[in-house]
Parts: sequence; C-alpha cells; structure tokens
Amino acid sequence: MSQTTAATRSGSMESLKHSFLMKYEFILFVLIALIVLFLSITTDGNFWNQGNLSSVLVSVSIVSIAAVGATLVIITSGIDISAGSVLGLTATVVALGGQHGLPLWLIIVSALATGCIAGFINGYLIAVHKVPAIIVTLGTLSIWRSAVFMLLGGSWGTDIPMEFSEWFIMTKLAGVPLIFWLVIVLVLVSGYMMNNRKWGRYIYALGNNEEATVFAGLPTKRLLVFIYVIAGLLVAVSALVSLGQSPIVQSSSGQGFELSVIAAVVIGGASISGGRGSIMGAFLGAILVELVRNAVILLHIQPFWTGVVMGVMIIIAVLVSLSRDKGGAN
Amino acid sequence: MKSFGKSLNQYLALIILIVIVVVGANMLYPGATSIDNIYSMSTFGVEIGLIALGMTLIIMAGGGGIDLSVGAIYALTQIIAAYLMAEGVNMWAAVGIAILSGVFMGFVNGYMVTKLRIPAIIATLATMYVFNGLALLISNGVNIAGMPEEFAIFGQGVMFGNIPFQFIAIYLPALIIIGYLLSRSLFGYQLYLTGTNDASAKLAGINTDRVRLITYMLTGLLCAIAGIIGSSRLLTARPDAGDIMNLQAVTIAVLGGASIFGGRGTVIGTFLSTIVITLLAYICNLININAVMQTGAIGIILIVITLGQNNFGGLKRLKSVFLARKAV
Amino acid sequence: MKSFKMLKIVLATTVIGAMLAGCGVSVKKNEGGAASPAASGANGADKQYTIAFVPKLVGFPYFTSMDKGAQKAAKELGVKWIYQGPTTADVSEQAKYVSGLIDQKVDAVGVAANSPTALNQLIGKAKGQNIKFFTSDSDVTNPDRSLFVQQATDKDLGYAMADIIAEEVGGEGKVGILSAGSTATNLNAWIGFVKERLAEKAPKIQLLDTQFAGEDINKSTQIASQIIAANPDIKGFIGISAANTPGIAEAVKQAGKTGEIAITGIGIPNGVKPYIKAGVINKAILWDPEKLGYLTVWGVLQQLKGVELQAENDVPGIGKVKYDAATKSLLLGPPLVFDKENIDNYDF
Repeated sequence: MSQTTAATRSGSMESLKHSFLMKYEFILFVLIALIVLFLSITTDGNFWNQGNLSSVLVSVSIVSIAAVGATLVIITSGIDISAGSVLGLTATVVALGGQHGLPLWLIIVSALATGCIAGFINGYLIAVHKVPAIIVTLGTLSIWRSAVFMLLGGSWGTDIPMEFSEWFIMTKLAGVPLIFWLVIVLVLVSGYMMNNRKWGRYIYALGNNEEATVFAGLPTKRLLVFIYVIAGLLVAVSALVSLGQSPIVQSSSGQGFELSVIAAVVIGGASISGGRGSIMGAFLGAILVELVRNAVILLHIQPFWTGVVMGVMIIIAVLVSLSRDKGGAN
Repeated sequence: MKSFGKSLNQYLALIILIVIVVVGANMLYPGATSIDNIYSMSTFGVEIGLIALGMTLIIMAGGGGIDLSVGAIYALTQIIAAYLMAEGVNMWAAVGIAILSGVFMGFVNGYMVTKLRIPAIIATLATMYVFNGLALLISNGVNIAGMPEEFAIFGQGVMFGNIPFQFIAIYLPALIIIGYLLSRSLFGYQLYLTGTNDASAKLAGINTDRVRLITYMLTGLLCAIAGIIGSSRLLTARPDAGDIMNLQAVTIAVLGGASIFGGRGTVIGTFLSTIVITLLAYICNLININAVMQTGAIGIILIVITLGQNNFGGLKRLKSVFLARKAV
Repeated sequence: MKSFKMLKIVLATTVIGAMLAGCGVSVKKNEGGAASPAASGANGADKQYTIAFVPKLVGFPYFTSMDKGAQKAAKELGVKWIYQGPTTADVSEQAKYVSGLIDQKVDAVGVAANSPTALNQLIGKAKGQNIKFFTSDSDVTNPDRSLFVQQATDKDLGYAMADIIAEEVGGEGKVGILSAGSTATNLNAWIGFVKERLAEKAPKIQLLDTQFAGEDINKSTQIASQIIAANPDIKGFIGISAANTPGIAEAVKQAGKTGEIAITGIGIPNGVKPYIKAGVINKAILWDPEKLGYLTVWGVLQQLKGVELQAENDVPGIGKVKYDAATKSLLLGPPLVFDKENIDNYDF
C-alpha cells in the first residue's frame, strides 16, 4: 500500500520482504489489537462500554477524515498546520447559519465551501507562488483564527443543527456509530484510488521528484492545488462530525487539531520529506493515538502522561518507518 | 555580495514598517512610544527575542530545519529551576542546572534530526509533546512559586535607572555574540554554507551534521535563558507557558529575513522583526485592538513578505531546472 | 561594513564595562511614598476616572457579560471603562495587558487573575504609581490589592454544588469532577470546598480524581464520555467551569444516561439551556455576571472617590451588597440557581 516505486523496482526477494507480514500497517494493526486486548482485560470490559466505544470511534473518525487529506498533502512534501483554524472557521459558519435560520442544505454547502476556499488559498499560494507550505499555512492559521474571533464576537455559537449528531453519532450499525463505518469506506476507497489510479501515482511522483513530474508534462500545479482543496474540504467534513459530537462553537474550537492529525499521519508511516505515506496507515495511526488517550483515562493514569506517551510514540513510529525504508529500498 | 543587497532590502522594509507603526501609534495615542513604554515593551520582548534568535539559526542551517518545541523547552526549564529552588537548592545552582538541561533538550532535538535523520518538524513535534508532558508531571499541573527574592533580578531587575536588566545584560550581549558568531567566526561561515548548499558544504569538508546539532543546542540554551527570565518576571513558573511562542518565533525569524530554504538570515533582521512584533502587540493593547486581530494581521504580513522574498527564490529554482535539463 | 564593526565594538565595550563596574543592578522596589488615596471628596467629584479590567480571557461569554454590565455602570456613573485581555487564559499575556494599562496611567486596573502570585510585581508597580489594583471574579494573594469583587464566596459556591449533587445522587455513589485548568485559583478553591462539604455532609459519596479539559466544551464531552465508561456505576458529575458543564451534559446525553447520572456545576445560561430543558441537567449554578461587572465598576469608583465602603451598601440596580473590611472584598450575593423554571429569563 505504500512505496509503489519500490514495488515496481524490486525483484522477488524484495517482494517477499514487502509481503503482508512485514508491512508497516500490519505492525500497527497488531499493536492496536494488543492494546485493545490489554484494555479489555484491565478495565473489566469497560472499554467496550457503549459510551466509551462511541466516544473513541467518533474521535477517531474526526481525526481520520482530516488525516486522509493531510496524508495527500504530506506525500507531496507539503504540510498544513492551518487545519485547526479551518475547522474552527467551518464550525463558526455553521453556527452563524443556524443563528440566521438558514435551511440545512445551505448550511452544509456553506460549510463545505468554506473548507474548499481555505484549501484553495493554501494551494494557490503554495503551488503557483511557490511560498513554502509551512509559511502559508502558518499565515492562514492566524488569519482564520482572527476571522473566527470576529464572527463569534465573544460568545459561543449555540445554534447548531441537531442533524449532525443524529446522523453521524446516534445512528448506529451493529452498535457502532455510522460515521465510523463511513470513514472505513472512505479510507479503503481513497487508499485504493491512490494505488491503482493514475493520478494517485502522480501524487506519489510529485512527492518523490517534483521536477521530474514537470518534465513529464503533468499538470503539477493544478494537482497540488487540487490536493489542498481536498484537504480543506475534508477538514470541513471533520468539523461537521465534530459538531455532531459537541454541538457548540467556541472561539478556541479546533485549536491544536492539526497536531493530532499530523501525529496520526506520521505514526501511520508517512514521510514528512514526501514520497511516502498511506491513508490506511494514517487511519490506523489515528486509532492508535485515540487509544492512548482513552487508556490514560480508563486506567486512571494521571492525565499529564498523555503528552509524553504521544511524543514517544511519534518518535518510535518514525524510527521504525525509517529503518524499514533503509532495509527495503535497497 | 548579492545576499547583502537582499538583506539590506529586508532591513529597509522592516525599518519602514517600524516607522509606520510608531508614527501611526503616536498619532492615535500621543506618547505611545515614550521611553517608559519602551522599557515596558522590552521587558516582554526579550524572551521571544531570544527564542527567535535561536530559531533563526536553525532555519538558516537549512535542510528543512525548524524547532516546534521551543515553547516547551521554555516551560520545562523554568519548571526545573523553580522546582529545585522550592526544594532548597541554591538559586545559582538551580538556574545553572536548568540552563544546562535546556542545552541537553536542544541536543536531543539536534541528535534526532542529524543522527537519526528524523525530519525536524516531526522530531520537534514529538519533543514538544514530551517536554510539555514532563513540565506538567514535575509541577503536578500547578504553577510553582516561592522562589527566593534575589531571583527577581533576571526578569524584574533594572540598570542605569530604568532600563530592564534582561534587555541590557542578556539580550543585547546575546545579539552581539550571535551576530559576531554568524558574520565573523568559522562556525558562522560553515552555517551559511551548510544552509545554502548542503552537498557542496560537505564536499568542502564541513561537518554539516555538527553545524546543525550546534544550532539546536544553542536554541535550547536561549530558550532556557528566556524561561528563567520569564519565570523571574512573574516570580512564578508555569508548566503551560510558551504555547504561542513556537509559531511566534518562526514568524519573527522568517519576517526577519531567514529563508526556509536555508542560507539566508541575519541577527539584525531578526532583531528588527522582533521589534516590529513586540511594538505591534503593545500598540494594539494601547488602542484596544484585540490580540487575535493582530495575529491575523501578522499572518497576512508574513505571507506578503515571503511572496516578495520569493521573487528571488522562484528565479533560483527556475535556473536549477534548466541546468538539470542540460545535464540530462 | 566598517561602521557596523565599530558599532558592535562600542556596544560590546559599553555593556561589558558596565557589567564589570559592579553594575548597579537592582530590583525595582516600588516604594509608593505615602499611601495616598487617589483624590478626596470635593476634588474627585468632577474628575472622570478611568477603570481598566483584564479578564482571564476574552471571547468567553461569561466575561463578555461582565463587560456588558460594567459598560452600563460606566455610562450611569460617568466612568471610562477599558476592557481588554488575552485570547487564552495565560497569565503572562495577562501581565502584558496590565503592564500596558499601568503605562497608560489609568486610575485603576484590575484582573480576573489567571494565577494568584504571578502578578505581584505589577501590583507593586501600580501601587508605586498610585494606581489602584483590584480583582474581580478570581483573586490574587497580595495584601496590596485594593478590592476584590466577588460573585459569591468560594465557600458558598463549592457548598452549593456539593449540596445539589449530594441531594440528586441520594447521598452515595461515585461522583466525577471535571475542571478547566489545573492552575486556576478560583476553580481550585471551589473544588476544595466541594470536597470539604461532601466529606462533612455526604461521606458515602466517592469522589473520582479531578480531570481537566481546559475551557473547551468539546474536550469536556470527550473526557466525560470516557470517564463515564471507565466508571459505569457513576452517579453524578460536577462541572467546575462554565465550559465543562455543557460538555458533560452532552456526554451523558450521548451515552443515553439522561436521568441516570446527575449533573450540576457552573453554567452559562445559553450553554446549559438545552440540557436543562431536556432534563439532562436539573440545576446549574451561576450568578449574574452583568451585575458583577456593574458592581465592580461601582466598588472601584467608591474607592477612587475616597468613599469608604460600609458593611452593607446600597448599590443602584443591585440592592444590598455586603463588604468585608478584613478581606477587602465586596460580595455580590448568594449563587443563582438555574433550573427549568427560570432558565428562560436569562439570555447570555
């Protein structure tokens, strides 16, 4: 699911190494299974409690949706630290729409449009004007946060349509919130498209060697802009789900969200320098991150440990992913 | 040198910005930049100024260098110092240990980036989480006060009348020392080369890893000093301090001319942009503009300035593309 | 280039020379001279005083309401009111605002303190310039602050929350506490009194470890959900800060445990209204922040005019307000309890 170029270049010995058992995603999956098992035992099954499972899966969903977009961005060796502010902005737009009694469909369209526009601005500056992604998204992070503040004007946005909560969270299939199933579909479909459709390979190529793609005549700029638009759109979707989980908007809503997303993508095996990353990996990374947060609460561990564990996890994940890179790509 | 010319442009732009802000402020609020007010401003500006200096070095060394953990180091070192002092350790010893620990934290960052080859954004993101967590754990989530009275000197002391101690005795010397380091010493020369072109620097025999490692350690040192000043100013050490400093430091460094692509940046530029940012913050408070608007405005300024910078950057890349083509 | 070099050398020598000369570094002691009141009676009558206030953070509806009340008082009492603050509950940012206001030579500057000790130096600076330093909503531990305007005593608030929860869970069972920040003075004080009251009146109640969610409603929901799952027999939950309570309510609602888990805590009316109406929360506590803001302006103004505060004072628009000379604190009154009956009367 990850290094397409390596797969095409390798011979039979290498392909054995890349077989399913050695795949990084599989390692993550096993890790997750072990943690779940551990938690089930140590919490007397409380982990599987309806409320807990729901809360964890919904949080995973929110991060995963944005992580799909973030993975694409990171594969092209970009980065987007404005995700949190875009989430806040989208939520604010919804709150304003609700306040003015706009019909639901219009609210949803406005929200998604907000994400797309924010993404477009990022992509445009990065792809066309060649401003480094970290600078652009640092700038838009501040700008959108200002906008949220101005729009909310010192109060909380409380007129959130209840539909988000009903659709995404209360509707359950086999006891699991609907949104989680939808996210699994999203992850599988986009993962498939990345590996088996031509523009998926173009994106990997972009990350590996941008100049080569220009020579190959690919519409590099358009592709990059498109990726950032998608990323923005997905953050907007995350915002809607988040409003389902917590139907209220504060001027601080979304702050720090981008860090959780990037952590998930990195733990999922993506390389910040571009060219490598998998959506399935990001999804598993998001699950891992939420499991750790959940474990700290369930096991009555002092909440201050969360940060330390998170940081250590990121480091280990990167080291593992780097070492396997050295081993396999030869 | 061509780069000096570009720097001059940068300085000019920043100075013009400063003049505009000062004049505008005084029109809206007479006496906005009185000498007492400037002393006040510098009291707050020194901490972020020091951190921004470190960030400038890291960014200049190129290779995608950045440090997202500066705020966390700022917090952890002040907590360590305060904790030791609360346990009865001699003030100077506590400060010394805290500063050394800051250097060590910088070393950890640098080691991960250079030896373990973890990309800087990720490595420092991880250490940010870890250092923040450690600060919370050591302090049990609460502020630590109760330092000896002498400790107030770093952040509250004054010299020659009313000039803040941290500005005269710490920040200015730091500016001079680092400025000298960059422009006159072997290390500075190596730093510029490493940032401008990694491969040729290595061919020229420069240990680029060591150069970058030193920038991270220097930054750790500067953050620790800033942390001591900060906790001295309030006579309180806070485990959650420094949250906004990460991005602020990057903004100031880039605004001051440090290029994300490496190789460009000056102490003067960072100094000037520190002034701009600190002035703006102070003025906004004076005329009652919310800080968030100001952050948004800075975001816009950042993008605009980089767009301007990039006319040179874009040309450079175009050149390299053609050269590569020829080689093929 | 040469000129730069010269400049650097000159600067360096000056600085080093100064430091070597056994520099006269001193911590600025703010001797305020004679502790003179700002203005006495007749002189003060014509002057328009400027009172400035730095809340814990701006953009928080509770403080926005305080501001509204204060503005009303400012208009009625002929005072200039400045309201500004940081966007996060960060005491270092708060200090910057306070420092700036002192530089602007306002007549009085106050805070809802993010930390009990970190502002001490600034309090000294204010005193040295004959500027009154007051606190409202959240106090500092410094005898030089001229006044503390309090909504209700910490004890009353803590006890009220404890009593409500004890009653609703029937005196026994597990109760969780969710607070915003581990370093906030007033929040910690309330938690202390909750524990004290429960230990005394309802010892069978088992309090879980306090968790922190910041002033973040979404985070409160997430953490509360997971605490409920970790303790399936939990009977009650207290939200210590106004952002925590609606978050807890949403968590209980989504877990389908409305009515099974009692919730109470500090609540901003618009935030808790839907939950009170749906029966997820029966009673939430607050006080009237607008009145608090009004009282703050009134109280500080009396001090500026040199008028002594009595044990009981008549404040226009509020009524009788108690003053405790020992702690220099003005008390707004008992906590306000919101429930189904009265929640519609409030809109903020």
